[in-house]
Amino acid sequence: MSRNPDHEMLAQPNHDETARQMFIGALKLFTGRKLRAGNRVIYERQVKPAFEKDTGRSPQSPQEIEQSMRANTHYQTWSAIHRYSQELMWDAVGETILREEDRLRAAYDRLSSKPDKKGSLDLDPTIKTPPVLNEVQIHLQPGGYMLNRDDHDIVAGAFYESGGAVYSKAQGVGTKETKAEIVIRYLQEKFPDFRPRKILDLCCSAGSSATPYSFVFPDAEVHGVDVGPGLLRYAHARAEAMGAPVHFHQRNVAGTGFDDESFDFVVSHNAMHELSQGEAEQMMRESFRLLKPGGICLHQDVPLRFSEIDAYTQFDYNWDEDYNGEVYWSVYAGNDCRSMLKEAGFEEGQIFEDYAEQLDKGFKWYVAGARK
Amino acid sequence: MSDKSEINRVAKADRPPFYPDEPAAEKILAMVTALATEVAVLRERQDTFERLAEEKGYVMASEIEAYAPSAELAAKRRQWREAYLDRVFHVLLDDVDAAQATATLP
Repeated sequence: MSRNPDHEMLAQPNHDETARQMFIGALKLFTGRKLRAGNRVIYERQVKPAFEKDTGRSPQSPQEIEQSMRANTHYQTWSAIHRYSQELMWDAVGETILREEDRLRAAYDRLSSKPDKKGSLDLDPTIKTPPVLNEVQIHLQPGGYMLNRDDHDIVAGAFYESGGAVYSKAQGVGTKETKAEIVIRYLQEKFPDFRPRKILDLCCSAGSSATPYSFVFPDAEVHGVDVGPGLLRYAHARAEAMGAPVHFHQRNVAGTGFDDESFDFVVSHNAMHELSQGEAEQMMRESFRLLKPGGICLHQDVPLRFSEIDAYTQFDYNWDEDYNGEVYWSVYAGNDCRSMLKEAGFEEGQIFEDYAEQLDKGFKWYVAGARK
Repeated sequence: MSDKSEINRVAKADRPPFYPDEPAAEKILAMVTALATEVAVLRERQDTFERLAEEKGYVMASEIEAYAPSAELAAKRRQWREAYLDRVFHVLLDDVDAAQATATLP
């Protein structure tokens, strides 16, 4: 399955919009990888020796490294361009989405009201939403995850999917696996006997991880929850357009409202780094409560653990918190997921923390989970 | 360190400070200038192409909109973008090369 499947809900860029998006994707890889690697050379060869000359000692903490790097012209310039590349990406994607909005809204109305729907959409505007989601535009997404201008608004989901696609398309050839497919392959290697019949995707956003579960486990009932109504409308219409039977619900991960022991598999993709420590703990407790005995929970996220990286890399990662609206980036990196799972009720010997690698070995994701 | 056996494509002679108090502004000016050059090259090539296409009557604007590159061409374009970014932002890559060439202080 392609990481960027074509479907009716996808905003279709025209010739110049495609060229612009592909260029911005390349720019993001250039600043995010090539130039970013150079920053470390600047640090080791120039900034650190100057700090040592002034103070007679090496910088000790990510904060000290940050202070000295932010005074460096090369770093300032990189930082500005890296930020602009993200702004340009949303600007370029937004041009396509807003040009396509009438078509997308009509497609949503038709797909969400057709009589032979395979899945469902259950919106509950009374649920508790983390206030930060109304105040911050996570990774600068225009309008944020909670964008909801009226009862037919699908733009938050369109931004989420099209923004992600710019990044992955720029990476070009190679194995194009969705995060869900990487997790499924990991699961099948680690628990070959595991055949989930009921699956829950927590913080499912635009639904691009929930759909692969329904294709790979056609006998399973697949549910997805999120707090953003615009994400969920888009996710629902997207799944219907692809023929994927998925049930979407507007719920908070802290209390999903489903019955105790009602799921075999509870999963989250790139959710932990968007939760406060308290919310992440609640998500672990909710995972335990919802799982049947023998069921498995698995939470996948970016491979960023402060316990495993040096002070420079910590400073480098913190950029996204300061300049890219990732409010819980360092909270996530410092979280002890093993302890959280244990506290949630899972037995020590059943807890795992690991990395799940893409088939082409190009990238590995952090995973933490447990069998109940 | 001063290996002259190879001539750099990009001029690396010491640049006098135009804005002594604003080194970042100089970098930005250098990049904008390089970018303006690249855009002009692109514009002229496209203009030539469109005029030839019109004279010979074989390309419609709608065909350009509908054009989908092959996988091979998509890869070629990806390589071109990488080289293009190296050109536009060469002053930053030069910073790293210069730092790399510096021996660390004892």
